[in-house]
Amino acid sequence: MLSITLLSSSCVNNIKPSDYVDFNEEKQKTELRFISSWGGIDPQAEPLNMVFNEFMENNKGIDIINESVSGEDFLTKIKVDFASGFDPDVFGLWPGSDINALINAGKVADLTDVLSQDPEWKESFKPDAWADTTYNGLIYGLPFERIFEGLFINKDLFDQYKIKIPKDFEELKKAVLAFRAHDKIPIALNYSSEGTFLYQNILASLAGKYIIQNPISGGSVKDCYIKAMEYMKELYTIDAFPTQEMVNGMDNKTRDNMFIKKDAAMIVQGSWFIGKIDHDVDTVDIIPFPTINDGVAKSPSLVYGLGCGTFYMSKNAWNDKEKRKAAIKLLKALTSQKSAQLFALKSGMISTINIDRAGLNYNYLTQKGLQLIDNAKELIGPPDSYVDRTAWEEKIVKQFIYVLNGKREASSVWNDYLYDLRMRNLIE
Amino acid sequence: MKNPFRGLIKIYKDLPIKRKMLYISYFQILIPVIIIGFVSYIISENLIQTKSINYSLDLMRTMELRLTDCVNNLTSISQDLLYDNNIYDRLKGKDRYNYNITSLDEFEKKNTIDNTLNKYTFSRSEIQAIYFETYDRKDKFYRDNHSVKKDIKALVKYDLMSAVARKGHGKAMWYFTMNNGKADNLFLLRTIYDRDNFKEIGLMVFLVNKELFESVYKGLVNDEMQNVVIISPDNKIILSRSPDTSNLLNKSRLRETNKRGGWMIDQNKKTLFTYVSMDDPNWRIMSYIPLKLLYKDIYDFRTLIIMLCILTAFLLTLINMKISKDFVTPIKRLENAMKQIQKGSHKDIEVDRNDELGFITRTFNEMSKEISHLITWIYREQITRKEAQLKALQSQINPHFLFNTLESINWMAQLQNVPEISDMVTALSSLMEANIGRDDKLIPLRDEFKYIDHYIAILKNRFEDRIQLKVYVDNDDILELEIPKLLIQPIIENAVYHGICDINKKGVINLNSYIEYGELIIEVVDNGIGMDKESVKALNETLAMDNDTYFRTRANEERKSIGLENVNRRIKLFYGEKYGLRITSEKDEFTKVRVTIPLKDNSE
Repeated sequence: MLSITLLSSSCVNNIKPSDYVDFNEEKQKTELRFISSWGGIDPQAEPLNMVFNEFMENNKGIDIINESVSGEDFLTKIKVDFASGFDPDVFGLWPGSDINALINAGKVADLTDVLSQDPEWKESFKPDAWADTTYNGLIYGLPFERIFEGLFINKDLFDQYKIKIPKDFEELKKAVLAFRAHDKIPIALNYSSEGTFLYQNILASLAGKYIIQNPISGGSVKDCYIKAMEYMKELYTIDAFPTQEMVNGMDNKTRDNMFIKKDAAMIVQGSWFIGKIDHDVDTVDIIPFPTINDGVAKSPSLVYGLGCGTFYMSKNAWNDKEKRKAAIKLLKALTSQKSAQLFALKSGMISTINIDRAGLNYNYLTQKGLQLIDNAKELIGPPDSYVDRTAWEEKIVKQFIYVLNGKREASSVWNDYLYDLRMRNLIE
Repeated sequence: MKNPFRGLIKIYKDLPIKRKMLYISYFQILIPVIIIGFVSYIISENLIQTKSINYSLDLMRTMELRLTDCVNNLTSISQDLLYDNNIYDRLKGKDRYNYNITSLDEFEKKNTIDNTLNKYTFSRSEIQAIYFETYDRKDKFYRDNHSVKKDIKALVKYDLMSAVARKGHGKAMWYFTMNNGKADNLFLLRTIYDRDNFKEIGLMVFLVNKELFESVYKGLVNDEMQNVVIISPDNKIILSRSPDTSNLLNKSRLRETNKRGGWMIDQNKKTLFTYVSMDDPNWRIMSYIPLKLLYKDIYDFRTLIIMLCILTAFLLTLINMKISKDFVTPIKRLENAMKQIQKGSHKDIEVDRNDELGFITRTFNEMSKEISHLITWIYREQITRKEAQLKALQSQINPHFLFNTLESINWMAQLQNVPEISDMVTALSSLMEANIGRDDKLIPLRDEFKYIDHYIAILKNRFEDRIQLKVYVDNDDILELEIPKLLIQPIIENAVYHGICDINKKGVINLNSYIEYGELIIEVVDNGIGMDKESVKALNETLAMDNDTYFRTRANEERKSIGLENVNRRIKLFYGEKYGLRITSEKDEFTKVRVTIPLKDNSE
C-alpha cells in the first residue's frame, strides 16, 4: 500500500507546470564573410589564408568564411553580393569607381573613429597611402597593399640575342622586331583585364597623373585614351603579341607562364607578378616603362597605387555589434606588421605598413621595384582605377582584340563605354 | 519526556512470535524493495522524460537543419540567378535602349534567359516556377515547370510581393497565400537592385514546391511526434501535420516561445510541447506529444514495481508462515507442557530436531521429569516428617524401658501363673516392636495379619467377647503377597475405635482379602455405628484427592480419620494415584474400608 501511494504521488508531483529549458547550445561563433581577389591562383592567396588561420586560432569565437575569387569574376561577385543584400563583412577592393559607388550607397563603414582611437595602428601605415581611401574627409579603407606596374624582361633572352633593353617606344619596337626575327614572342599578352596593362602603361606615359584621374571631360574621353590604342595597334601590327591562335581562349596563367618559361621576352605586369616568379629570379628584371616621346608624364614615370589589398568593412557588419568587434579585430590582424612581413616574405608584396625591410630578404625584383618607385619622377595611379570598372570590362577589355585587328575603331569602343555610363546614369 | 516509541515497543513486545517474525520480515524485505523501487522509479521517470524531450528536440533540430538546408538551397539558387548578367541586363532594360542590339541578338539573349530559367525549374524540384518583373513593370519573364496546374503569372501580386520583398533589402523573403488558415502557395521573393547605384530594378519570385518542405519531417516523425507545425513569425501556419493545429496556436503559449528552442509541459492539456526557432528565415517548428504517450513507459514501470511489491509480500508471507510454523510449533509444545506441569502432570514432548529448540525441548523433558520426581520426593518427605512427629511422641517413653517392663510383667505373670497377662504382654511387645521399626519395609500379608491378631488379642482384654475378628482369605497365595508394614493395622484400629467401640452388641470385624481384576483387594468391614452419607462423601472426596491437592489443602488439618488418610496417602505415594482406600457405610449398620493395591509393585 505504501509503495502504491508513493509511486502514484510521485508521478503527479514530478511534473511541474511550464517546465521550461533553453537549448544547451554551444556559443554561436561570429562568422565573418570575406571577399577579395586574393583567391585561387593569386600569389596573395596563400599568405592570406595563413593570416586567417592564425587569426582563427587566436580567436576561437570568430570564423572567417573566405570567398575570395581571383580574376575578373571577383568584381561581378562583389557587386551582385552587395546588390542582393548578401554583403560581405570585410572585403578587399582596389580604389576606383566600384568602391566609390559602394561608399555612395552607404554600404561601407566609416573607419575614421576606429583609426583615431588606435593611433598606433593608424601610424603603422605610410601617411601618403590614406589619400586613396579617404572620401569627403572620412577614411573608409585600410590601404595595405602597394602596387606598381612595370615592364618585366627576360634579361637572359636579351643577352642571348644581344638585343638592347628598350628605353623608349622606338627601341621597344626594334626589340620586338629582333625577337620576332629569332622566333621568340616579344611581349606576352592576352585580352583579359590584366592583358590591358601594356595599354594602361602607354596611356599613363601619354596622359600623365592628372588626366588619368579625370578620363572624361565634356561628355567624351580624353584623346590619349584613343591615341594609346593606336600605339597598341602599332605593336600588334609588328607581331609584338602571341598569334591569334595562341591567344584564343588563353587565360592569365598561360600568359604569365609564357614569360616565366622564357617563351616570351617581355610582359607588362603588376608588382604581384613578382610572387609568381619562383625560380631563376636573377634572369628577370624590371625596367622603367619605355618613354613615349609625345607623352605628358615626366619620365621615368611609374603606374603606382593601391591593390586589392585595400580593406573595408561593410555597413552591415558595422551595424552588428558582435561582427563589428570581430571585423575590427580582423582588420587589425590583416594590416598588422606581422601580416605585412608575411605577405612580403611569401609573395614579395610591398605594403604601406612601416616594417623593417632589412630583415625581409626581398628578392632582387622587389628591391628593383622599390628602386623604381624611388627613382620615378611621376607616380601615376592605375588607369583602370579611375574608369568605370564594369563598363571598362564589358566595353573596352572585351572589345580590345577587335580594335587591334581593325574590326572596330578605338573611338567606337570608347563611345560604347560612354553610352553604358550614360545608361547607368553615371554621366550626363 | 515520554518516549513516543514506548507504546509501539510495548505493542511489539506483546505480539506473538509468529506475528513478530512476519512483521520483521516485511520490514526487512518490503522496505528496501519499496525504497529501491521508488528511487528507481523516480530516476527512470526523470530519465525517460529527459530522453523523450531530448529525442523530440533532436528530431526538431534535424527538421530545422533540413528545412534550413532547403531554404539555403533556394536562396543560393536565387543568388545564382542574380549573378546572371543576361537576366540583370534585361531587368535593367539595357537592351531595350541599345541601338547596337539587333533583334536577332535580342532573340538570342531571351533564349539564353529562357534556358537558364528552364535549367532551374527542371533540375530543382523545389522550384515550381521562377518569375522576374522589372521595376517599371514594362517587362516580365517567367517559367513554370508545369508539374502542377498553378500559373505563376496569375499568382504573382507585384505590389503586395514587392512590398514584402523590399523589407529584405535584397535578401530572400517569404510570402504565403493562405487558404483555410494554412499556407497555400509559398513564394520566395527578392528585390533586385542595380549593381552600381543600388536602386531597385526588379523583383524575383520563386513559387516553391510545398511538398519539398514536407519532406523535412519524412522518416523522422514517428507515431508519438505526429503533430508538427511550421509557423511564420506572424503566426501563419506554413506547414502542418497536425490534425488539430488550434492546440498549438494558442496565443498565450506562443508568447513563451521566443527563445531558440525548448520545451514545456502543459498540465491542462496534458501535452509535452517542444519547439525550435530557425535563424533565417525566422520560422518556428513546433510539435506536441500527449503526456499519455510520453509517460507510457513510466506508467508501465510503475505498475511493474507495484506488482513486484505485492508479489514479494505474498511470497514473503508464505515463506514466513512456513518458517515461523517450524519455529513456533516446538515453542507452543513447550508452552503447553509447561501449563501441564503447572497442573502437576508430566508428559514427554516429542522431539524431532537437533537444533537449539530440540536441545531446549530435550532439556525441558529431562527437567520436568526431575521436577515430577522432586515433587513425589517432597510429599514422601512430608509424610515421613509427620510420622517422625508421631514417633517422637511415642519415643517419649523409652522403648527399652517399656520392653524390659513388659518382659518383667511376662515373667511375673508366668510365675504367678496368670497366662492371660503373659499372652497380652507378649502381643503388646510384638506390636511395639513392629511399630518401633516402622518404615515402608515390605512384609508378607501373612505377617501383617499376625500383627493384626496380636492387636486384637490385646484389645480382647478390654472388650472381652464383645469383639470378634473374622479373617477371610480367598487364596492362601495371597498371604505371600508383600505389602508395606503396618498398612492394614491402622484400619483395624480405626474400625475398633470409631466403629464398634460404642455399640451395645458384639462388634464383628471382617477382614477379607481377594484378588479382583489383577488387583489385591483387602476389605475391613465393621458392624459399628456407621457413617451418614455426607460424612462418607466428604471422606471419600478427601481420599480421592491427588497427592498434590491433598498436601496443599488438607494435609495440615486436624481430623479424626487421620489414620485412614495416612494409609491412603502411603498407598498413593507408593503405588500411584489410582490406588488407595474407598469407604462405604450405612449409618448404624456397617462401615467398609476397601483397600486397592496392585499385584505388581508399581513403585519405583
